[in-house]
Amino acid sequence: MNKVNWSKIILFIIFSVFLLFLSASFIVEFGMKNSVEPERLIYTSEGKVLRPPFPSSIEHPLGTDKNGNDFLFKLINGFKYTFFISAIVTLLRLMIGIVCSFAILFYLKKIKPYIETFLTPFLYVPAFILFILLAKEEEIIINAHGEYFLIFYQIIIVSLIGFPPLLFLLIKEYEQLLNKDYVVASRLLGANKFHLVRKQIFPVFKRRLFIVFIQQTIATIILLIHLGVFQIFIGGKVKGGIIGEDNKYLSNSSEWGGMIGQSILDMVHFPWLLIYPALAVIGLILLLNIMIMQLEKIYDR
Amino acid sequence: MKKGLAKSLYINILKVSIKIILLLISVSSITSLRSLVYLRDSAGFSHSFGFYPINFLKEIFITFIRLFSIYDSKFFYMGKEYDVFPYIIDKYIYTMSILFYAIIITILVSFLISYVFHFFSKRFKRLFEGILLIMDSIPDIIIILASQLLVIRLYQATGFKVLQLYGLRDNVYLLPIICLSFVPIVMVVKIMIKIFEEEIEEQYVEFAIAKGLSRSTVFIKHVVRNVIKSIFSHIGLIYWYMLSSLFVIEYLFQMQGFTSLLYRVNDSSLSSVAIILILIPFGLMRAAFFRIYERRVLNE
Repeated sequence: MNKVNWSKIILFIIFSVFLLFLSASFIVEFGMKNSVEPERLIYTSEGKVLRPPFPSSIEHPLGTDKNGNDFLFKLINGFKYTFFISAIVTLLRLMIGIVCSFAILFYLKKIKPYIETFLTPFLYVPAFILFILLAKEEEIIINAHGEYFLIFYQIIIVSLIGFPPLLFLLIKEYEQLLNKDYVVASRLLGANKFHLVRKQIFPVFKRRLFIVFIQQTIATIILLIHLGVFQIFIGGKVKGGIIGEDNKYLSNSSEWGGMIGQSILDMVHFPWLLIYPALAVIGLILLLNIMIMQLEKIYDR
Repeated sequence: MKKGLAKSLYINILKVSIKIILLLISVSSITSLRSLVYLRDSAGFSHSFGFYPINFLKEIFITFIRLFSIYDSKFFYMGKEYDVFPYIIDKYIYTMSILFYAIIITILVSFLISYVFHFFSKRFKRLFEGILLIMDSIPDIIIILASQLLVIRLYQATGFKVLQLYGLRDNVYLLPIICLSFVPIVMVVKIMIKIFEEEIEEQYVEFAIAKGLSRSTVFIKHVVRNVIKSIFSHIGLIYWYMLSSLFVIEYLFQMQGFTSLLYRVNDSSLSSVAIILILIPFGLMRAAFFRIYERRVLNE
């Protein structure tokens, strides 16, 4: 009893941390954007001219990025994009996955082994390869339909490419549940498919669903980092440098995966550009992992 | 009786061949995904964006047919023309040797760690589980980038080149293998500890210890054998994870490897061959482990 309460307290703390960061993120985006000017050039007393990125200082505790923006604000600003992109992607993926897995289990049972064979290569080819094949040429898409369509399209593609592993996972879990004695008894008594799903499977699966959701969110965050390494940023690119003269691109949304990806070419000279977003991502995944652990503790009791 | 046996054999052969053809079609559909959304000119450059299912089916068909004549064709890669076959095999052996060293290291090290774990005190076990939780939250890319940064910083500070970092001219081995096996080791240790804990509470273990066998004998002779099956059911997950980090590692270490054929080459049947080659060792490995398991565990 006591332990369950502890788990609930920890979950509550994590939730409030997320809420705090989200509200801070919105405040930075809409309340402070105009008051904080990007730092362009610094003239030192020795007559030298320094240009961004600057290392940590009193005005900028985490330094600045290549365009002179404060890195702490940039990170906090990026949190909501990371959070919402991964949450939306995971939700879409789960909805498609649940519908398709039920359809396969109940209506396509005979060709199920063939469907699994067909999907096996999709399982083992890394997801970012599929993304590169489908959505790498951003200029063409922007020229055809505009920038908002690009973001929409990228999110759809990210949700679709993570779908085969999830489908396998869900089918495995449902099969375990369908073989339970009470489900078999219920079927023998004449329950139809919808009754089975609604009354026998869903109440048990509901608990697992939240854990699966968090696991998929972590997988999505890691996928975003992988895409960032290949210089693909969800939300599009902007030119780097103070007047856009740099030919390396930066992530437009400052989503954390993209921030790690954009800094890999500069990591030797400006290591803070890599280290802070990396620590942020590790912290986020750690919190999600702790959530999974506590949820499992609660459900085990 | 005999007639029925022959009939079921035919049906099995038919099923397997349907599955193989399905696999080939599926692989060619992955590599022709570009034509689903882009219209491409004769040189292979995409010029307009939309949804083209008929084009896609055509491309799958062409790729599928060309798979059978891939043996003596040529391809362009980074502006040079290569023969497909000796080139692809060399790269393949290099990449796969890295992958297999990493798998072997993963299995050995994680067995060792989970063996040692049993002799820890209870407090130390909890501490170790906390460390595992933190390690589990570090994505593979951050490990790779951190190790690169560390090696470069060491070089800058001491002038001493610890490890070769980039594979522009020679093949690099050590650092990629370490980076590749780091995250899987954490995953496997977590799985193993969980399974061992469940297994150690079984009655046969208690009985063996009561009989006077030492803890390590029980562990090595009895527990490991029963645990092997559940570990190899996770091997698919590990292989999948390693593959996706292998792609990133080859990209970040600029290794002259095999995986870049999948996204840098504009030839869809060549990429299909690459995917098939990646899938083959996994299929063989799973079949072999299943055989060993059947003989060693089920028959005894």
